[in-house]
Amino acid sequence: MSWSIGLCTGESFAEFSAISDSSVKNPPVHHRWYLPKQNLVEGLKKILSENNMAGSTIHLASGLAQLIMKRRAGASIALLVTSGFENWPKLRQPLRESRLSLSPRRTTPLLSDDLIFGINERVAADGEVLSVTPDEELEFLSQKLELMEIKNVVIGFLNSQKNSANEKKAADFFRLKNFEVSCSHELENSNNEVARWWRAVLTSYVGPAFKELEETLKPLEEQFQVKFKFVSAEGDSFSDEPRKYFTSALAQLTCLANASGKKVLWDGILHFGLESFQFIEPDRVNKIWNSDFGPVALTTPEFSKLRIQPTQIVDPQSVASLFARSQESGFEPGPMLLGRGLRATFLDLVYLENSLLPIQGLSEWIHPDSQNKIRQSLSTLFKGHFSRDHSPSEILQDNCVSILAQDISQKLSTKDKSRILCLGPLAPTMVPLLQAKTPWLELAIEKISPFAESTGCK
Amino acid sequence: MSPTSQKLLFLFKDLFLFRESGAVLLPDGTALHVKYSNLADIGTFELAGRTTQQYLQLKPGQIAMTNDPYSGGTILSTVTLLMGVSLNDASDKTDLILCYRFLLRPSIHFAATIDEEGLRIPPTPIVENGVINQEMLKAMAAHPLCPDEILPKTLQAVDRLKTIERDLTKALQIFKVGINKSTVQDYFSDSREIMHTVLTELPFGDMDATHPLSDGGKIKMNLEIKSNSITFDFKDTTSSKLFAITEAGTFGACFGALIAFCDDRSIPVNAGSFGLVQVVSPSRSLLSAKYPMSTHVGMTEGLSLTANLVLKTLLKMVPSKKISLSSSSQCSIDIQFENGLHFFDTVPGGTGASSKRRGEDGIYFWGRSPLQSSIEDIENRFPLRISSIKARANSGGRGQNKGGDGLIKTFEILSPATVQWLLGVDLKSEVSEHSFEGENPEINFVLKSGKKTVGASSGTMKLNPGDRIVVLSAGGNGFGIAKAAEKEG
Repeated sequence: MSWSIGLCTGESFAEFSAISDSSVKNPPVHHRWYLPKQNLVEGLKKILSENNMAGSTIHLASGLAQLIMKRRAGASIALLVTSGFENWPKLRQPLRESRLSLSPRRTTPLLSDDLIFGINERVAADGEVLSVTPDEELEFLSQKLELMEIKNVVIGFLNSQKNSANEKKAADFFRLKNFEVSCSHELENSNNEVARWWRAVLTSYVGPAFKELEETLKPLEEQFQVKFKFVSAEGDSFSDEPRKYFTSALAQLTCLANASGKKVLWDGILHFGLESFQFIEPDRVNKIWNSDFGPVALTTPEFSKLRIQPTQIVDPQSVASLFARSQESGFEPGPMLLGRGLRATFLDLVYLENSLLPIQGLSEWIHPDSQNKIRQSLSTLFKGHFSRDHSPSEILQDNCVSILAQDISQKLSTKDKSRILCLGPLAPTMVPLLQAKTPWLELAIEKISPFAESTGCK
Repeated sequence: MSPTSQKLLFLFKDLFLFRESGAVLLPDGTALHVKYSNLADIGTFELAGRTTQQYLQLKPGQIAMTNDPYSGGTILSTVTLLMGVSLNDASDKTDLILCYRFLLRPSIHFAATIDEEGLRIPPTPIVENGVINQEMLKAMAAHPLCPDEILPKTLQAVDRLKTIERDLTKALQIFKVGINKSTVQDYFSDSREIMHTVLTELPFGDMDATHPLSDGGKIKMNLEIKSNSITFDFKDTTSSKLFAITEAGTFGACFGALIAFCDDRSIPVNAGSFGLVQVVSPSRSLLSAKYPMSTHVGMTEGLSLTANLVLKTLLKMVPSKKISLSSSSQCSIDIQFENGLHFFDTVPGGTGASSKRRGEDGIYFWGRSPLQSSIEDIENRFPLRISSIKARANSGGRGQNKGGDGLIKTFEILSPATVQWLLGVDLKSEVSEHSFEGENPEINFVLKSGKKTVGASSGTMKLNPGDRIVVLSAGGNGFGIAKAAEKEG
């Protein structure tokens, strides 16, 4: 008996969906669990012991790459660029704020300046090699990197998409010396050098962590006779392909874009996950992903993070700043409803207003006293901010939902009426709230995640 | 704050995209919301609204355009569209004016009058009854001084403006707010209150400041902070041959410097908060340009210089802020190739250091430029090669924390061209007990023959294939006198 199985892991939750492919009808298996309480391997062991899924492949859209990027905790790598452009990746990093401020700053870089090296090579815009990669510079640099104990080298030369000879020469040199090498021309064809460089950097940056994850999952493969494969941003599955590990970062979005195979019917997909709210336009392709550290060459469906997120912190400061760059608490320590967080989040407002419907993997961890604590906290924080006719949570929830509705409406503003497929565990909670604000949108809920079908079909 | 005011602030906040400039005005030009991307944007939308309404009285759906600095524009390569909006489908009464500003490729003009700078478009209707007057746009495009691509970019901008209008009307439905006399009054009063709270955190008092200019002119200011207002009085400011700024531009420089100084995300940019800020620019001074004076240099470099003077004065009044000044110049270069292609670029300088950290390299402090082209993209489109772009080592001022470095950007010309450049109208001369000055901007030309020329702060030069332009932008000032720096000094 074989199954179509999808596994999606975020920072704090894992979601497993399996649908039987055989003619004998087996009920689908859906399980979501909170990773701080039960780790990935334990959770999988439990499911696989209770259900015989031998011979099946588990398609994994892992949030590992996102987590590594967020924490800036990837492998140590050296980036080799055309000489004279060593500072360019940093200079292309976005600013933290669009407004005027006393101390404008860029976002935190992925790589330290000390790990970006210039090589005296040059290819012209028409592909002509103006200077060949010099052997002596490569030799000198390899010795330096060995001393620095750096094993991963990324090569990003200007115009290498037009002529890759110089990149290939440097790559061959370092591969012969047993360095792990990624080249910008090998991964994505783009006329945006920094986007190509970051793509190559990320491939090396997250690689070792993925290898470790593959090792961790191997005993499960042997014990339960299953196979794990990662899903890429293009939607295909793979294993042991270091060049593709990073693309798994946005695989969940691709799977959602492929959801139910019905994308032609929908103008957009809203994913109300526990960890993030996203809007996906399945029929639009994006060649550049604008990450917080700059552009990355990666083909994905067009997507955007919505302006309000489930664990968005709600306090007078964030409200006064109109939620501009306001923090998300994540699930560590998490919203106040779990009993450990000290700052109210959007999810807490929804819970307090009795709008939160039961969610497997979350509801069982809700702390019994948390409603009172959230109410007290909001009353103290927002004392004097609102009239007494309404509770702070009521006004704040209404404002947050309005912001979400405006955000979604703007993304669809070229159409008078739009049909939106709503997915994710928080969809049943969010859709009635949003629908009341946007009667011109047709919001349809798919209660069971079609993740398994969309990954299993590839 | 009233719930309606808060909803209006929320709904206006994301009406425009990250790098867009635009505004929502009442029919008389009063600003309900301004989204700026540079200093010039802040004060000019209201003037654009007032002037347009004075002559055209826009009906719902009607769109006008202007680029005239004397009618609420900024520089001639930046075009403002203004659209009449009715909030009631059945009515032909204009309830709001929606503005959207878009950029054409800028160019540098050293001209005595604005009409020599380029094509000046006073408020002119371009969309009537839903039809775009393409003939008029084509006629504008045919003008020899018209910026590139006016026709396609205007068509795109009209589409964008219509989308913003739809977004605005839907947002008003989502937030369930109406824009009427009473909600507008409350909204302005609440905005004023926020600004008032911010001002009460500043020390009351006044301070004089002067910035002498290299042509003998000067910007002279008295800055006075009271409990319910802040006044920038430039009464003894002279005229100057170097630059002239419109009054609306001067207001933007003062307000922009104030919001940068206060560093408070909650300050709304609208007529409510504008009401507490008084700017006195005497007529015939360089801060109150009159037609037909040329304004390009003033509305770019002049504004940054004025804003730096305001910021420097505020930092003296509130020394606890512990931060040094940033480079104010944009270092613009404009290359006109003989084959007709036209390239424009800016090279930003470093920002000032603070007591907590060193300054950042290569950030234009007074604007958020949308120019972010990749090297490969530029080299594909223009006959030039960028040989390097890197931090200008040690150009940031010394100190306990160093100022951010300027940049060095080197261009190699691959086809005959004429280059014009503008490094800044006046070089900064600020050294205090807390601050060391960063390096000034420079431009060098290395000709194919090997001959090297150092350029003045502005100029024009013919170049041939193989010649190189090296632009070195200014460093930000350092903060705090480190012992090592003292020894060096």
